[in-house]
Amino acid sequence: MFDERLIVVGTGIRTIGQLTLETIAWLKRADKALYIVSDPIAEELIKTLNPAGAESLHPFYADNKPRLQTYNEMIERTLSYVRDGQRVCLAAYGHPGVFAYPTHESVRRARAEGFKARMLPGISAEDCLFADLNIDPAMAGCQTYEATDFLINGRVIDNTSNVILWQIGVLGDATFKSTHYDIKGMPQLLTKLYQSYNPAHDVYIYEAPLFPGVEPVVRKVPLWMLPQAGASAISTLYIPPAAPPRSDPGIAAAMGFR
Amino acid sequence: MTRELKDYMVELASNVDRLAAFMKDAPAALRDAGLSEADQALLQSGDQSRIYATLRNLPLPPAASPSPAPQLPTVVAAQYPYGVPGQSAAAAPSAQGAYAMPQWPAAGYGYAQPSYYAPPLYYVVCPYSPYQR
Repeated sequence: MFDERLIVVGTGIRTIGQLTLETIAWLKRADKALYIVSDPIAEELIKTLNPAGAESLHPFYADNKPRLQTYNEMIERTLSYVRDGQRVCLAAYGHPGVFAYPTHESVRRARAEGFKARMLPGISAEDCLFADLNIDPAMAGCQTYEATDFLINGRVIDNTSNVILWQIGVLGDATFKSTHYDIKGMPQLLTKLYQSYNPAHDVYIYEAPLFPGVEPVVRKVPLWMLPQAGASAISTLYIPPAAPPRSDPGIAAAMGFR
Repeated sequence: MTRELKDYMVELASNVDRLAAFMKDAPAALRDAGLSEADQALLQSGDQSRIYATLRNLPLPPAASPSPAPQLPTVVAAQYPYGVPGQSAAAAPSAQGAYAMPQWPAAGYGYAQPSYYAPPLYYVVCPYSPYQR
């Protein structure tokens, strides 16, 4: 029990209040506490909890460098410590398993090499969105896509359900940018969304707050205004249902619903 | 920034008694923590850009204007499958397909992220296929 060589944890979006007790304990207990966070409180807390073993993986990012290359370097650094016999805690902001490649891949590769590895859940931006926008994914269902994946992989929208598109502010950009992302896929995104929605349909730009006492960004714009809505790299797009569900009266009756 | 501000916020993240006291009476908790008046005001300002810049020792951006109230969606599809009584539902796409495309804005599509914050993204599309064969 608690003998994992690699444990992957999340610091939540707002470190103050969203960091679990178990995550704090693992950060403290590990030989190496690797982290990929930009919240200065999360970073400082990790350094405080584990002064000897804390190490930021952020230096692997560089302007215009392909993010996949950065992720692979992070994975290799993580596994090098595991192979070295150290107990490693890898911390990422949000939920470490939601829209996070290096965390998942580190666990997969560690297991493939015979090391015991585990991921703990955290609070993701989508969890914050459900709370702040007061929507329940059970109501009308929910489709979640990474925005670029949604475009290039032929994902199909059901416009009677909630739709959430992540990383709307880095659409079509596979590199890291410290100041400015070129979202060259925006025309294609609008073209695709217009196949399912009226251009006047209201959509929401959402950003979860990082600090206590800060309100979330919830900006409503008609779909056609999306390019001017001021989305950033931390923005998530929420599209409410545009039409009622298409019930199947036959099945509903067979199941006893009236 | 005084060092005490960051230390205090780190304590809030890891000490439930400190956090409870802050939630119960923030001004008193901040005073008791010995924070400067400027730091007390900053932490109660709700201004994310300035809090972030202060913690990172970056130049302070202009104070944010009071943020507008969140414009919350009203998802009604489940409760009112045939639309909200008394309201006409937004038109769905016709059987013929998509809506007509409006003109693109003349400006480019580059978005500047907040000057204070470059998030360390963790995901890029298609690094692997999750499809099981």
